[in-house]
Amino acid sequence: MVPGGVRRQETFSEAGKKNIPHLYQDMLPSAVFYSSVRNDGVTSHFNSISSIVTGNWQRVDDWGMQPPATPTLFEYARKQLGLDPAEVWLISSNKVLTEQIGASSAIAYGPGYRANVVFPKQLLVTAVEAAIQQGRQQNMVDRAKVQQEIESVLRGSNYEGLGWNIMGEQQTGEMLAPVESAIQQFVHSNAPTTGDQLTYFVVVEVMRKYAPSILFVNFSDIEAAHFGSYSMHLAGIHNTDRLIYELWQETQSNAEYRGKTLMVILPEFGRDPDGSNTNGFLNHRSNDDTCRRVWMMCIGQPLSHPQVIDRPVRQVDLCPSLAAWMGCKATESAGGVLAELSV
Amino acid sequence: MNQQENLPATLRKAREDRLIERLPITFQPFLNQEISRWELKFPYEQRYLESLVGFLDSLPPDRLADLFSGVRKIESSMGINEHQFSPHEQTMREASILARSPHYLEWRQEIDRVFQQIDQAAFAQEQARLSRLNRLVLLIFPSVLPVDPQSVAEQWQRGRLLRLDWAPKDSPQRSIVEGILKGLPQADEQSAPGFLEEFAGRPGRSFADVWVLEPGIRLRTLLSGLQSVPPEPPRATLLSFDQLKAFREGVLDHIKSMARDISDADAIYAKLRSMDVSEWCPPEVGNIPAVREFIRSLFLTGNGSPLFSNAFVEWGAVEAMAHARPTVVLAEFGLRNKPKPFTSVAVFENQEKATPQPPVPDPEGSALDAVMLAYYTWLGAARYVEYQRTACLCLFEGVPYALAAGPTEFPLWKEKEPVPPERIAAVLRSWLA
Repeated sequence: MVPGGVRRQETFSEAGKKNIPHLYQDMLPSAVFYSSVRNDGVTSHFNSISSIVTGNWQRVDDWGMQPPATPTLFEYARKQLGLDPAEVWLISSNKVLTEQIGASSAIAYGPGYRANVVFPKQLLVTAVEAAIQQGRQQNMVDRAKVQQEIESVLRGSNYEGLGWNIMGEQQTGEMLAPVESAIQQFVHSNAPTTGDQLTYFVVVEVMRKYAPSILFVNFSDIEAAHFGSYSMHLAGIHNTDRLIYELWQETQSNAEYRGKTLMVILPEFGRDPDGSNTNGFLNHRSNDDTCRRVWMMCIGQPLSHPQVIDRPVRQVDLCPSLAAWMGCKATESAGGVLAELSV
Repeated sequence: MNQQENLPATLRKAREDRLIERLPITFQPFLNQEISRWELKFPYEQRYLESLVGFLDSLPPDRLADLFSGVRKIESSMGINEHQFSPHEQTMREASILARSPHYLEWRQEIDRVFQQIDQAAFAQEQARLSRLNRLVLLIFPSVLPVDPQSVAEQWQRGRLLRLDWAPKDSPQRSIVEGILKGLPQADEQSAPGFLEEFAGRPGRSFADVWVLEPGIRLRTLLSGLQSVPPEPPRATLLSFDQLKAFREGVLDHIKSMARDISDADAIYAKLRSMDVSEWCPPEVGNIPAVREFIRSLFLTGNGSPLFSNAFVEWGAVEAMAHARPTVVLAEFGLRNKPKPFTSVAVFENQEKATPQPPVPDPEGSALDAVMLAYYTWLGAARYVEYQRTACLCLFEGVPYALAAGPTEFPLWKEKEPVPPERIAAVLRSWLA
C-alpha cells in the first residue's frame, strides 16, 4: 500500500495520530513499524514509486514516458518464481502514473514479465470529462446515469486513454465484470465519491477474482494538498487510513489471503515543511526531513512479533526484502534486505 | 531593440560586456529571463536585479570564475552542456533535467551559496535599510468562518490573543473590520479615510507598498481611497479572486488542454507566458504591467491559486512579499464550496459547469484551510530580512478577538483589554508612521 505524500506531523505524531485512527490503534499494535525510512531519490510520484518497486533510486521521466531503468519486484517474481500474468497487479489512483510503471527497460526482464496495471480513477475522470464535453452534465446528479457514463467509457474505450494494461493486452473482456461490479458499489454506496474509493472497490474485486500474489496499491486522495486545501488533504489522510484498514480486513476474511499475507504501508514521501519557500504541505520537493523521511508499517502473519524499529532504513530496501520474503532475489537492487521481514 | 533601450545603464553595460555568456550554463536562462522582463518587475525587484548584475559585471575575471567555479564543476559532473540548455528562458524540461540528476542537491546548495555571496556583497546595505522599516500583515477571518482564535494562537506559538471591545448589536450597520480599517464614523455617518488609505496616499508611496488580497470585493469597496482613476498612478495593488475569474479560467483552460508530455507542457507554458492577457484583466490589474505579470506568474505556479480563493490569497501574499516586499499586506480569507460528488474528481476549477447540482458551502473546511494558510502567510514574511520589524494582526471577525504578533515594540503586546477597534486603528496608524 503506497499512499502519496504525507508528513509525520499529520500521521505518526502526537498531533497527527487522530488523522489515522485505524493505522494507529487497530494496526500498529500488531505491526513491525519502521519509524525512519528515507526517500533519497527524486521526490516526484513516478520516480518515487519506480524506486520503491525496483529497489533503486530511479531518475527517469517524471511524466511516466519512460519505464524504470532496472527490474521491478513484479518482474523478479514473475521470472524467477514463474508467476502467471494474473498473479501480479498494480492498481493506482494517481493520474501521473502510466502503464510504463508495470515493467522495466532491463533487457533480461521487461514487458514479458510485467504487472497488470489499472488506473480506476482515470476511468472516472474520463467519464466525467466526456459527459461535460458532450453536454450531459445533468447525468452527473443521477447515480444510475453516473454508472452508465462510467460503464460506457469502460466498454467503449479498449482502455484507450485510461492507460491500463491487463494480461499484456490493450483489450480484454477479462476485467469487465469485476470493474463493473466495482463501479456499481462505488456509485451506489454511501462512501465518499473519491478516486481512492473507486480504486479500493477495484482492488477488492481483483483480490476476489484473481487472488494475486503481489498487489501494489497506490492511493492519491491525499494529493488534494496540491490544490491548497489543508482540510481536503486531511480528509484524504482519513480516507486512506480507512481504506487501508478495510483492505487489511479483506485479507483477514478472504481465504486466499488469510494467514499468508504480508501488508506493507509505505508513503511515497512526506511533504514540504511549514514555512518553506516551496509552500509547505502543498508540495513535495524540498530537501528537508519532513519531505524525505517517512515511516513504514508491515503487518501480517509471517512476521514474528510486533516491534518498532528506529534504525534508519531506505525505501529501496523494501524491494529486495519483499523479493527475499517471496523466495526470489532482486539481483539488481541497491537496497539491503530488512532482517525483520525475513521469514 | 526597444527593450534594450529601456534598460538601465547597468544592465545595458552588462549586455555589452557579454556578462551572461561568461556565466555557467545553468545560470544563464535565469539571468536572461530576469533582464528581458525588466519592465515587468516591481521596484524592489528592479533594484535587486541592478545590484546583482552590476556586482557580477564589476568582478574581475578571476573573481567571477572563482565565484562560479563550484557551479561549473557540478554542471560538469551532471553532464550538462549547451545543447541541452536554452540560455534564454527557464523551462520545465530543463528544470526536470536538473531535478533528476543525482547531483541536483549539490547544485542547489551551490547556487544558494553563490546567491548568499552576491547578496552579502551587493545588496546587504539595502537590505539593512529595508529591515529597519515597520511593516504590517493584517489577516482577516470573516465571521462566516468558524475559527477558534485559541487554536490559531496555539499553532503560531507566539503572539497575544486580545479580546476586542465590540458588540455587533450596538452598531449593526458596521463590521469590526470597518471599525478598524475606517475608524469611527463622522457626524454625517460617512467614514473618513482609514489609516491604510492615509498611509497609501503619502508622498513617495508606490502601488507595490500596499497589497490587498481578498476572495470578493468587500475590502476594496470599503477602502475606496486605495483606488485611483487613470491617469492618476495606482495607490495600491488590489487583487480579488472573484474579479480575476476570466484570467483564472483562461489559464486553466490552456493547462487542461496539455498532453502528458513535457515538451507540450513547455509549449503551453511558453504560450501562456507570451500571450496577450489584457482581455482577462480587470483594469486595476491590466493597467499595471508588473501586477499583470505577477498574476500571470501566480496562476502558472499554481499552488491552488487559480482554484480556491484561500489558496489565492495566501500564495498571492507570499509571492507579493517575495517579489515586491510590500510594507502592508491586507488579506482576507473566505468561504469555498464542498467538492461535488463524482465530478470533483475530474473538475475542480469550475464545478458549476460540471454539474447542475447546487453548491454546498463548506465553512468548517474553509476555516481549516484559512487557519493553515494564514499561518503560511505569516511564515512567508518571516523568511526575509526586510520583514524583521513586521507586526501581524489576525482579526477574528465573528468572535471578536485578534491575535497580535511581531516585534516586542509592537504596542498591542501591552494593550489593555478589551481593545476598541478605533484604538487598534490608532496603533496601526502610528506603527506605520
